[in-house]
Amino acid sequence: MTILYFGQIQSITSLAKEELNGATNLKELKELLIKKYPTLSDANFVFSVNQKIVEACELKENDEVALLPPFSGG
Amino acid sequence: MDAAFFNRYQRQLQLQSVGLEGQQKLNAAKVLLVGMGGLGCPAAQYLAGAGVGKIGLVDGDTIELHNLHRQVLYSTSEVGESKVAVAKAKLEAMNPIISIETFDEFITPQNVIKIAETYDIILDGSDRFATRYLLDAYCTLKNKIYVYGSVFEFEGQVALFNYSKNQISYNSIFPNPPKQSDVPTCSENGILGFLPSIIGSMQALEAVKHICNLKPTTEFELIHYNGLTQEIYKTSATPSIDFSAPKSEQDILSFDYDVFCS
Repeated sequence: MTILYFGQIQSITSLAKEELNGATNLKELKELLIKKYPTLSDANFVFSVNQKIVEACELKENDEVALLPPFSGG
Repeated sequence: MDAAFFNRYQRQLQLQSVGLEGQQKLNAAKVLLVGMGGLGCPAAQYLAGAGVGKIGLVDGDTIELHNLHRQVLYSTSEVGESKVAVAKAKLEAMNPIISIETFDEFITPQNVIKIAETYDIILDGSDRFATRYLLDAYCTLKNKIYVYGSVFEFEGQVALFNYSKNQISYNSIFPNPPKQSDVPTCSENGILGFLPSIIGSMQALEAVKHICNLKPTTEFELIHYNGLTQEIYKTSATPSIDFSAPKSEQDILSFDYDVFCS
């Protein structure tokens, strides 16, 4: 599946997007991501799966998952 | 409404979807802008230009030289002067037939209820999470529209909260407040002037679309804009019960938003 990284999350992953498989649900994906990028465990973000913000869901190979952090600048 | 009124708003009256009916809605609208920085300046200019009947400006800051590259209402000779006083003078010079109220102070749980009382729409041009959660809580309690906008380097976010029947609050999307120290602000990470100008204009556009019933959807949308790639990512959400929403003015007064975001 495609993972999109926004804002401060990009400075942790050094990538805007990547293909990542092996997770069947959001909880597994989060574990997988934290294993790959340990500092993500302290980061503040919400998941958006196929352009909808969700806390938990099953995942399929062609899903698109975005990690959205809140911004504060103005 | 005289000839000058029709002349002033002619180009937007010509838009069939706006017309005289939309213009009258704009003239009856009351929008409070909290923060007259990079987001608030362009938002205020376009809302004043569009003829929003009553505009409130809240900011306790004075103009600094390093504001000028993005806070385009202010001039070099005005460094040191009150942002809201200068903004009011400039906006009134541009459109003298609207009403502009100023509050030369920062918004707090103690003053928000009085300052925002007569306004229907609150546009957030602040740069602090504590202010964002406070405005969101106030709008949830009073059933007002909260126009959220924020920037980070080359990216920005815009959303209309408490819009229509969706009743989605900022707090229900981001229930865990980040520590202010974990998310850099413009003063820490730097910013090009264009980004807050684009996002502030988008906030003003969302407010005007709401006022004139021009929004194509009643669904909640969080818009994420990337100025480097010129890409927009939109995401929706399902309304969920926000258990932490304030139930009374006392709930707002007794909550420490600074501690919540630290």
